[in-house]
Amino acid sequence: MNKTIELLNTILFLTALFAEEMAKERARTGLTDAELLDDAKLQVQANEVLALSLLTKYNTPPE
Amino acid sequence: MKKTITILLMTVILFLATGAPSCTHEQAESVQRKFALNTNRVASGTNDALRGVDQLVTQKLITAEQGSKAVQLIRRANAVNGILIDTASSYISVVDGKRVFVLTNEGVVNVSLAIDNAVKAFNLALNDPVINQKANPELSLLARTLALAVKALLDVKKQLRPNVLTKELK
Repeated sequence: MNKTIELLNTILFLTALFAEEMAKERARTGLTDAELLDDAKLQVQANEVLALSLLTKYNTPPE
Repeated sequence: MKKTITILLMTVILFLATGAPSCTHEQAESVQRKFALNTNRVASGTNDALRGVDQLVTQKLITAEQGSKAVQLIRRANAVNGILIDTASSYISVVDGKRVFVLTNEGVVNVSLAIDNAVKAFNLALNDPVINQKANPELSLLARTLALAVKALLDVKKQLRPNVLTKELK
């Protein structure tokens, strides 16, 4: 039963990811090339912050 | 059996999430536009992968140690992708008061080299036993998001030739 709930959660998460990705794709089409690169740069910085917070959460010092 | 069906379903969802949007309207787009779009998709896919890892750890589908290793690998690839974006951003200039991204011939060479490095970094992460399919099917499915985006970047690199750009800019 627990396993089924976990799997359902994963499917829900992936479905949300899919919807989010579609929304992002629509937003991308409205940006210029320069704005796309600016946005990508911000995303890379946000990814670094997220990665560090996850490593802290898992009690692993960043390499 | 249930697990196989779920994994199959997840693969289809991920394929739709990454493959389908990147295929739309790309025929008519310039190589520079494709590059900007795919660079953005890779950065976005990296975020999805990090959140996916956390989801798997939270649901105890992988251990915190595995999650930690996966995050380290993705973090390194993200840093190299940052260098690619910085390299490309140095070719943004202001023309008639508007910021435009125009790759020069020198830019094509530099950006191509940066793409190679980014692809190498992502492939290192994707081929690592922690994320590798046989070792961990759940993580591997999430890694597919990144693999498709990286493949798209490689496809653009093949088209990034000075003569192609000169033709487009005319």
